[in-house]
Amino acid sequence: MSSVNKKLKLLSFTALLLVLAAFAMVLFYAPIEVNMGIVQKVFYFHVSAAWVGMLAFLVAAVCGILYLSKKQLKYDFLTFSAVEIGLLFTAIANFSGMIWAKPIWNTWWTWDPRLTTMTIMAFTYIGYLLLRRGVDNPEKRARFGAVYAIVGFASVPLTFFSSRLLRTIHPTIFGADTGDMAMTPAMYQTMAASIVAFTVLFAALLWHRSILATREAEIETLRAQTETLEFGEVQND
Amino acid sequence: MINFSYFIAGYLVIFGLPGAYIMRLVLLKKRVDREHAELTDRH
Repeated sequence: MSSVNKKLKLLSFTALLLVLAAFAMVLFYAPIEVNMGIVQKVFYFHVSAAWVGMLAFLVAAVCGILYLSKKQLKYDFLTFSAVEIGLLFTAIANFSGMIWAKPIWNTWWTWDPRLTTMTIMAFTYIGYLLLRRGVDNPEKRARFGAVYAIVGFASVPLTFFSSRLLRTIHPTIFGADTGDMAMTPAMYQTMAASIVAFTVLFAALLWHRSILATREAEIETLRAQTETLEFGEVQND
Repeated sequence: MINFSYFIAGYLVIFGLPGAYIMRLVLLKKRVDREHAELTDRH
């Protein structure tokens, strides 16, 4: 087994252990919040998923810049992988938030600034995946994708600051002037553990996905070469 | 405990979606390995 494979397996195993440990903290260590009850415990991984989603889009933008400056396709594969995984975690944050909102806000959904900007952010990056599907040339696809990932990143700070700058019912945990949701040290520790666990899981998924994206590109090249060879043989016959 | 069902539903989403994504990656890896082998043979 190569050292890269060993490192990737170790990272994946670490991610699994950290997620299980963080979930154990949610179940057995974090206290039950007095007003919201047990559904508040959804919030630890909801915040972590939202954080990882935004981190993934930041990674995508940075890899987009690196692709444009170095023109190496490995950065395009990383951009694509980061966007795909970012969308996964944004979906987790959105759906788990809706499930939390039903008993707490008495509605699954409301057009609150935070929820609206999060949805805009998700659709922005769905647009990225659609754009990639529409371009056949790998170089052109990588260039368009890099520019899109950089420009699309504007939706991330918009989402992050929406609950801080605009009137919203969404609770603000970090960097708020007033405490929307009172948290004990055990709650903060559990949330920190969940954020670390999901961040390591993101790193492992990103590594796996970018390897697969590289292999998919190799297949695309091989297929094009095979078709050219077979077409040449038909012409000669 | 009145909202216990929402807690369960929340964690089904939180662990179900990454689980489904990991399954997708496993299936994609199998397909990619098979296609890579086929194309290399033909090449």
